[in-house]
Amino acid sequence: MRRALAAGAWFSVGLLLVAVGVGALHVQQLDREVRERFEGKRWALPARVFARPLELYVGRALTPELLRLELEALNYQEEGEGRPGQFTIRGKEASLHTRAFVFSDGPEPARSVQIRFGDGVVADLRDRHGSVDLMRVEPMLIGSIYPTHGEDRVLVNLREVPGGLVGALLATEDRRFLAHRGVDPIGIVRAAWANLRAGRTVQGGSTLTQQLVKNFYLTHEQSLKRKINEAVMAILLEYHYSKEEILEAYLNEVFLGQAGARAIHGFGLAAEFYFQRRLQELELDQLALLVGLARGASYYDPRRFPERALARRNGVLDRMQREGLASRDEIERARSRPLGVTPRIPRGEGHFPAFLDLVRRQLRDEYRDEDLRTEGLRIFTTLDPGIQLTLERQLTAGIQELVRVRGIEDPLQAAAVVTDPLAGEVLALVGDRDPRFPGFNRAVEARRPVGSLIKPFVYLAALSDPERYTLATLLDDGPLTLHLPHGEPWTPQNFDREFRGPVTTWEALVHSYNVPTVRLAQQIGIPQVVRLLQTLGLERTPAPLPSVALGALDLSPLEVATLYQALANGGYATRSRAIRDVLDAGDRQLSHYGLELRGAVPDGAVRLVVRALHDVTTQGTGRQIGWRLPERVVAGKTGTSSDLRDSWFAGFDDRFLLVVWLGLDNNRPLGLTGGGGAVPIWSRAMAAFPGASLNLGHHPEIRMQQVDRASGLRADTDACAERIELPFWRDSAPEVRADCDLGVALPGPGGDNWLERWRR
Amino acid sequence: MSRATIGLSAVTSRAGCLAAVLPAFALLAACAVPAPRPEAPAQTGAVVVVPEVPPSPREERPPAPAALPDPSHTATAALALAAQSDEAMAAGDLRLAGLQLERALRIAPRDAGLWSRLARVRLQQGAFQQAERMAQRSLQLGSADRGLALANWRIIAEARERMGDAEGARRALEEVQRLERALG
Repeated sequence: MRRALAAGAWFSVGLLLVAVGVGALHVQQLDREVRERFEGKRWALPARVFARPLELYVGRALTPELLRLELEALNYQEEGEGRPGQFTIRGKEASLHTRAFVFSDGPEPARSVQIRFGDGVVADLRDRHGSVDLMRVEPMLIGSIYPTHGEDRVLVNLREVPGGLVGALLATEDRRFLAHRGVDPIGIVRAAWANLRAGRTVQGGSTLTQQLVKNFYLTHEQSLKRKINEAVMAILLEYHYSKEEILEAYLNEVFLGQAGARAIHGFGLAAEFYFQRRLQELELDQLALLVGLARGASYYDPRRFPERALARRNGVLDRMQREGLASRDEIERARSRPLGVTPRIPRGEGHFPAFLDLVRRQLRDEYRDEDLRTEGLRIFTTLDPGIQLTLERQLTAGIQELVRVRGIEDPLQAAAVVTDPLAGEVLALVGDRDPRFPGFNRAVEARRPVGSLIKPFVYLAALSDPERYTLATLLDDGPLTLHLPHGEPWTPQNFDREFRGPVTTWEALVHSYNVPTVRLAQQIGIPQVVRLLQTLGLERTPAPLPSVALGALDLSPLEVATLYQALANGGYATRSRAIRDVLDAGDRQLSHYGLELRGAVPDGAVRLVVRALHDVTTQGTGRQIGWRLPERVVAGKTGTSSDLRDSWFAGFDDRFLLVVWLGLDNNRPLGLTGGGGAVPIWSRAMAAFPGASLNLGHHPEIRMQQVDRASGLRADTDACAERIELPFWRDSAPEVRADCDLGVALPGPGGDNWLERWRR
Repeated sequence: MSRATIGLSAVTSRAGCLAAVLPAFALLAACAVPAPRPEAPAQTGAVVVVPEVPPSPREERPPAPAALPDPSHTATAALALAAQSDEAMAAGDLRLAGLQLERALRIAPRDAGLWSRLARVRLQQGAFQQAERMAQRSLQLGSADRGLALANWRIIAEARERMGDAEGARRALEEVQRLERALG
């Protein structure tokens, strides 16, 4: 019997030892898990995509309306006591309080400035120390690229977290946080007693550390084993790490809301999600609401259950008062405030789907998808929110008007691109008639026949050789039949099916005549035209068919913009960049996509083409622009594909280049020419941009000369019935005088020396 | 994750001495460049040609009326950045110097002086082709400033030399010498 007892005791001791051994192994395993996760990269952080910052300086083109548009997009608040993120605009005066921000070239401090507007520009910019040369407003967050599990967060540092938040959190969730070692027996007893008295669960006994462990390491199953693991891991976490580290991790980990597939984690993002403010800018009542959500973000969701959320918030405020964390007055004031949650959920996927799509495409060359979703990169783009929003409004209104006036029944589709041609930056992009629709991105993906948009490049190729071609060179606009490589005859027609005989190069381009353009392209050679297009940024090699000269070439609106940039940029091709910089989570620059000049054509020849393209907008196929936009010198070209399937206009002023495309997705005829469809939309958008006139004045290698419109010959007097003044590059003006001009006697060479100037 | 790297070339002594010449005052210089006639116009079959010589006037005449809309305004902000860029360059931070000039060029995109500065930064970064093109762009925009033209031709000459274009470098050096003689 005793032996049996002894044997049983030994057996129990053995079992205990095994259990302890297994337990020790298990604890060791948990310990490794705790440390690996906490010391490694704790969270997968989405890449954040920013618009370009608004730069302010005296002389910057800006109106109070555009400033308001930008600031509202940034969710700046009007009026207020002058704290960061607030502004006022009264007439031509504005005051603005910006937030600090770190850019790729260094930090930009928060500023409080007064702005005075002049005529479409910033006339004066000063803060309390005096005038300010240059400053930036922090950029608008336009989207995020999420981890696949949908967790989204904005990391905060314990040092930058408002004291009120930490106080409220500890008062509500874990009063003895600073005293316990991970698990709080006193807290458990108190919670159990409170629950027993209430007859239901009113208090939780788990510490912040346990809550962190639960979220961070464990699944959400409810079991005793999990409870034990949670307690052991909490103790281990406290053993290895300081209270500050644990608290900071909690602040960033805790789940505080949900929007579709996107889970809102941490107080940094919650501040943006509920109030569209930074955490540091929140008031006591707002902090209390966020703290209240830690216990049950869905149950207390302030957007869905505002009353519940309000009661919860006030409960947190009461606790704060009991703990002496704020004065009775402060608490009373906070209690009396409404919830203050913005009704609109900030859309994480981005306000500008077409532009974000372009950003993703351009990132794909250099970054793995995984890195974009997890590394917390900051991506600085070229998007100009003011221009983007203006373009969207004008495009939408323009389409509505067109549909109404023209009675178009098919779903008219549209795409548009705005670039800064001198910098080669994409400022705005719309890929659908509904600019918010995140579907097929026509601005980038839809390649459509460009029609006459191609003509300026045919003429540029010719005019690059001034000894052979000038704007006054006569081209034959008579019937033409070409034999294509496969033997088929091709007989190009003009739009109006008329032939005009000899016409000047200028007239053929301004009025977009097809037949002389085909002849010209045949003379210089289609391969030459294709080479020119490639120099200017076309990244494909189209088959060198004669019809290329009439735009039997499919391009996306973005590709068209890239080509036209060279015309607006003195002949230098630039890329169309959507990204400036990529920074890592520590603000180090990973990539810079800088200003770059690519192939070039002589700017003298470009100037001739631009001059003709300006005439397109005053007397040619785009002449409505002349009266729709009378104050501005612009240049551009209409494009219409065969059977009126596509309606294009591509053009620019001194600051902005805009390409508009209209058509139908089913590729059926739309019934609109470039002039009838795209031009009115182009004009109204361009009129709404703070643009500036092209300067078509002096060029050191160009002389103006009056010529007879019919013969293209020199007209020194006013005897010829129709005369035009044209620019000539490198002494290429015609020397022979027109017959009509010779019909009258010239004024003698005395008095006026204007004649000498002409003849020089 | 891939990283875009910017190769830093050794700073040559010549590039160093350019610093003094490069003007923030590009627009002030008034006399025309006494340049020879440009090289023969582009031949047919080679339309894609950058003019070798800055657009050159054929006769002495007063400079063109100011093309920029109120240059004094944009200049303040852009020149403040140019000054910061100089500081960054003096401290050897070519990356920052480049960023500041790009920012300045977004403010004043037709400022020939800014283009020339950026050309110099690109030269020192070893981006020779960009250095050459930006210097050409500067010549295109600021044809009336001989000091600036000289700085640009020096950049072009060095960039071509570093790219192994000996003949191009020689032609650029001829321009340099011509301008040096003209400037005395």
